[in-house]
Amino acid sequence: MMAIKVFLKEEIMEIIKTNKIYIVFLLFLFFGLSSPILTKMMPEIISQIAGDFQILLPEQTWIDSFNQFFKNLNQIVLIAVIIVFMGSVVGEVERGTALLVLTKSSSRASFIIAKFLAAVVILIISLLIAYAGCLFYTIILFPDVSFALSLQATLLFLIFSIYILSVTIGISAIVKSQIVAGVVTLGIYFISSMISLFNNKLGYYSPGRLIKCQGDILNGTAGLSDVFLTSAITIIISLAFLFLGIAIFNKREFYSNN
Amino acid sequence: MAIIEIEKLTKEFNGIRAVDELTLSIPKGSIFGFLGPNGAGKTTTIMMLVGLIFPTSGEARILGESIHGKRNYLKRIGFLPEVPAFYNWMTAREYLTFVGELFKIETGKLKSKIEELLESVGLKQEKKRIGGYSRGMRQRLGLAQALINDPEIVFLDEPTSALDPIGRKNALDAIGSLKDKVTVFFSTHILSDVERVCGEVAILNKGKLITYEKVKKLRQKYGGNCILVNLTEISEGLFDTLNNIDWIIGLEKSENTIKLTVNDTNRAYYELPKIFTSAGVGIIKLETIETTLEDIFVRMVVNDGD
Repeated sequence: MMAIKVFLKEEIMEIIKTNKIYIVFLLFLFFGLSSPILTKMMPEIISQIAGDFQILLPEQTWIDSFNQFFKNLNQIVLIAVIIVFMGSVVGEVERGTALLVLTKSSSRASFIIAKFLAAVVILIISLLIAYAGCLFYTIILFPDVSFALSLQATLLFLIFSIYILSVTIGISAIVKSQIVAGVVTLGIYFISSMISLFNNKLGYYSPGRLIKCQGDILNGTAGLSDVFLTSAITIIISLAFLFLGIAIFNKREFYSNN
Repeated sequence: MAIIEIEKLTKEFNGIRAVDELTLSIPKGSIFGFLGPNGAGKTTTIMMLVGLIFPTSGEARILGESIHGKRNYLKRIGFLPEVPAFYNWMTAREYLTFVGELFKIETGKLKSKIEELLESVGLKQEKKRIGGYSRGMRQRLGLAQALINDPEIVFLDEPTSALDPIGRKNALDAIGSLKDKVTVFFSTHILSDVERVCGEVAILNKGKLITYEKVKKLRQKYGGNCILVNLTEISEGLFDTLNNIDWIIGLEKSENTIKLTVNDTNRAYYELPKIFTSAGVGIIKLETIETTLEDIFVRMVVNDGD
């Protein structure tokens, strides 16, 4: 536990000092603040573009604001998160910094767990601030905002993004280059999103369903109980990726990078 | 009492033996020189001992504990790789604090230890981030981190190769001062460094141990005597003649100087002038010099290759 704490402190300091935090945090914040404003202005923007053509849009609501917010998080932000954290383990192996710390009597598992926890901490803080920003502007711009439903949809995003982080860190511990780590993790992310589109059991229980269901949660056609099993399976798959990464990393050999 | 015991340690990469049934027993408190040309298997051996790579076969016990087990001995050893890599965004103090915390060193003790180590490696006044350090400064920081936990054994892989003469002298002084307190496993290809600080030396070539002796004994056993002859000229014929003489066991040529290692000095004093005279060359100077470890090393590695 002590080693995890020391590695975690180092990892969070690294994320801050190497500016990774600003990329993640600013992207979250940008979409948190811009989504409600863009949603509110959308009819006006479309009518400006359309010119003389009459395009009838349904009235924008707080649900559209949050749908826009999650659409951006599910795509642009998660891809950015993968790119930022894909080198967490393999990058240290490539640079040789892992070589010294892994001979200091701390377990290799603690090294990986700390990297995962640091990424989760940064993600949760960024998400909470972005959500607060989105909620604030949505309340100002739209009537009848449901705090509970928006929070439930955010919780689904959180579970899915923790799944993506466990894949990112797990793969980073398994492969031997950052590029391979990025390609494999992005591949798993896209496959996870695609499988959820299948109308069968595989689609129903796949992690991607969590982000697919955000809209249904927001408009009240689905509740958390509808995604309970999917959430549990997602958490199990996340742990499996992490344990697989640790198991393979434990058997890895490290060479001096001279 | 042996603090490091290595028994038939072997490491294969794709069927090629990088370390081939290495057997060594290193006593406590010694400064042990681990010599060998590039690719001899020195780094591979150290990496196996510190748990970064796994042996194909064989056994090694460090502080009485097998390297195949949980490796609790890592708490009691220090390690400096040939090219130490640090977190460039940290300062030396931050890095040593991080490493000290991994060893669970109590905060007050850690602070004073860090200052003591930074002083000894000449980085006490250094405030900039490690990213701005030269290779020599990194090597010195590497030495400091290897000693943060007051190790009983410290593994140093080519610790002086990146240092300038003053840095090398300081590092060797620091390593020498560890004698009898810490067992030093000192891998290098710089023979003068070994001669200066090491009591015992093992020579490794192509993964195999060629010899393991005390430096003094090695000189007595394999040294022979060296004669340096400065001649008016050296022809190819003369060099070939010398090469074929059985009491000459080593021969090196540079411009008009020949360095001979002989196993019978008296015979050499009588025979050499005759050989040079019959070859038509004059002797400007002839002197006996002490055999260096380098002479022995080159001869042993070359003979091993033959």
